[in-house]
Amino acid sequence: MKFRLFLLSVSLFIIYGCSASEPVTRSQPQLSTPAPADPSVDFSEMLEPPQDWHHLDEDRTRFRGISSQLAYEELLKDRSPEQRVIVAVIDGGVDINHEDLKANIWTNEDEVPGNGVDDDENGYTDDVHGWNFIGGADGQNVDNDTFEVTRLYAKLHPKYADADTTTFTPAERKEYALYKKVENEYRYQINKQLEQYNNIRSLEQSMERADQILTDYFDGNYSYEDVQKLQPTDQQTAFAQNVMSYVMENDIDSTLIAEQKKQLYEFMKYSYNPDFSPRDIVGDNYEDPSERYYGNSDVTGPDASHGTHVAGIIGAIRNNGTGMNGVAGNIWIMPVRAVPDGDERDKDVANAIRYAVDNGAQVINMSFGKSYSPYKAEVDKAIRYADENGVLMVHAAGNSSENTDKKENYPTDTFGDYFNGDTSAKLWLSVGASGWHPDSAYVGSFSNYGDHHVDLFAPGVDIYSTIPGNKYKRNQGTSMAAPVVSGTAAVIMSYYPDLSAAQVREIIMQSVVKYPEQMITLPQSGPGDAQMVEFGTLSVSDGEINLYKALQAAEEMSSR
Amino acid sequence: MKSHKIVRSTLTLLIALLVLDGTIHAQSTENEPVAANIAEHLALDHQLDEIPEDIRLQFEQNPLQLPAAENSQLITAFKDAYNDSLLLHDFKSAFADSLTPELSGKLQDWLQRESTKRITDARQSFYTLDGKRNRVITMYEMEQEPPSQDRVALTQSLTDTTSVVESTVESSVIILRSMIEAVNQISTQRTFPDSQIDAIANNFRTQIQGQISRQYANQMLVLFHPVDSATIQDYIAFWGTETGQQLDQYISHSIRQAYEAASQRFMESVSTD
Repeated sequence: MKFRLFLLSVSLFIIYGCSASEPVTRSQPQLSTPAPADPSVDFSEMLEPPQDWHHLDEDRTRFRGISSQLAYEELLKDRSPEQRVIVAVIDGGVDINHEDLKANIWTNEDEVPGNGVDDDENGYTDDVHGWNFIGGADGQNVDNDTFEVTRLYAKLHPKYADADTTTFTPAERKEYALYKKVENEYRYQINKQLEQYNNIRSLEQSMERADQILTDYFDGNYSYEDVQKLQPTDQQTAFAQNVMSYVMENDIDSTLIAEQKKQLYEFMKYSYNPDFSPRDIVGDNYEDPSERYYGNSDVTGPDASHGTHVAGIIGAIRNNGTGMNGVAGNIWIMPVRAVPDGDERDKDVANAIRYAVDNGAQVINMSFGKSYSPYKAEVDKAIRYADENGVLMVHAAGNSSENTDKKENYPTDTFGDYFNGDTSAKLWLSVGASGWHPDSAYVGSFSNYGDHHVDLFAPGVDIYSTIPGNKYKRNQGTSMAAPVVSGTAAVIMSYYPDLSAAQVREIIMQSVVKYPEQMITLPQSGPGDAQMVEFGTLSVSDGEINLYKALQAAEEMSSR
Repeated sequence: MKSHKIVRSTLTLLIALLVLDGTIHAQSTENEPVAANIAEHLALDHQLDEIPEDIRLQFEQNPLQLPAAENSQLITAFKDAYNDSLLLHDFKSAFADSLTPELSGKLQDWLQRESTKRITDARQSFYTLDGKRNRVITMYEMEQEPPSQDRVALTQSLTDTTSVVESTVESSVIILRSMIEAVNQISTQRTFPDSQIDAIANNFRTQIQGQISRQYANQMLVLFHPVDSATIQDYIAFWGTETGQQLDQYISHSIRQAYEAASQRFMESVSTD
């Protein structure tokens, strides 16, 4: 599943936060002019950061960005990039005609567009701008798909629901253990989604009622300040004040509610539906996980919102007076479509990685993940292939607020068993999401973490980037953090082409900014008392990526 | 010989009472399968858990801001006392006690009817995993394409034909009251005098009356979404018969008995802690 942050289940007493979404058409970039650190910046009053906060430098602006703006202004101003780096974006699709991406979309020069011939004989016909592994040769596309837990439930439930466990073979006992785990999670998710839907409807009804009460009270429109100043003398007004305060503080509106309800509906209709199977659209022999050549050339697909946002973070055209700036300037984005609205399939992930490697990608961004990987062996082979060919793989850690040292998140760099595998890929970076609050809320409350499985953090909260149709939007998730790292890697590679991927990885890891005194509210997925932990315990590197420092380190390494 | 007559008449009376009592228990035992059947087919086993679960979820958020340990103690004791197996057992016992052989026979016949089976299948399916999944789908699709006014009116009349709303309101009050009284036992900081508990209970009753009526009507729209209107009409008609009214009365009574027993368990638990 793409790591898009979902929000809010509201009971009468507990509230989750949500991301703000502001689709904007054709905006001018709102750049912050670097200035000396401003002690008057009051993060506690700030509802949202500048659109380019993730590019900013903390010493200058107090925002914990990756100092990319400063890097371009100081370290790279008199330099020209020496190579154009290809960054593969394995995702749900990219809007390759977006005004702020188009010029940076990779083109397969060896392929003649639309002639129906595999001109470069790479196995994929008319792969002019990448490939789509979740489409059929007839041009149809998979949009929604099931979650892996649903597929496993559909496969194992008929076999084990009423089985006599006393007669099991050792292999059946092992599979039965998997079935129980899957069944528990499937049941939990169904109940949870139902509860969330009911809570959202309840909130919606409460909002309508509260709005009516306050509209009558104020005889028309009212502001947040008006609501705060209220001194209710009856239950009805007190109720309305509580509800609307929450709604306004969290930017909840009818659009957001509608989006959430639709998402839950699609989860239940497709992703958690054991009878739903769109794989016929692809037309491959799904039982053959080693099959390589299937799909079509439509790299945009029916829903390119997530992939386009990721692509923009990496390489939206810089300084063109439009939209926003990607981290990297001199790159090609290679869209590889393999992630539906649902969970990606291991076969498609493996083939997407191979395609990227075989067609020249130097960095692969993977802003997706799931909790089960039934054909992990195939994905392992593909990751090994990328590793052996010197391609850096950047993976989003996930948005379940979980410790990935204890809870599986696939794909992973560890070969074989997730917890007990004794070898792993060398060219892998797993990325958690950091935010713009320089306090206990510094790590995204949704972000996975892991002292062994998460390598570093990168900005992934309130990230403004491209979405289909020449629009722009803020999103948050480790999906947004990973491309910050991919873009950083691409910048280093483009200015220091002689550095290997392993060296680039080492540079990124060693040049992170650490906050040894920073205590963090540990992300948690359920109720319970909040725990405070040191930021440094949440990742291997103990820090956040920083392009400025990485370039300094790259310079030093190149000079040796 | 006067005393001998008194003793014999007293003994006769005692024996008669014993026989009568034995008959009642024998009937109760015989009625338990019928009670279980009704509970299963009307999915009452699932419904019994719904109100306590709602209240538990609300109090789990610690709205009274008790110290965490006290709130945890409260919730644990509540869960144990309102355990769904115990609720179902108490419901079935109370229901079995209410049944007569004649009513049992009529209910068995009613359950065997094809139209009743379509209803009970829908009720049972509603609580399965797939049923829960389909609830979200149905709710969303109904919001996009609202059901006809006739359909809405039909399910509303189902709400109006039985005492389910009143029963749910009163059950909710019983459970909430038990929670507040338990807080009195557990909390070192919060106490509620009887008059305040009464006021809270009455206020709660007033607040939820309309809400529960609307919620039930909406739930029936979703639950009976796959059932044709003619079958629903037939079902509604049953509840208007003498048999249906008796069934409705005994169900409400038995549910209340089950919650009152749970409330008793809850208070005993927190009083000894």
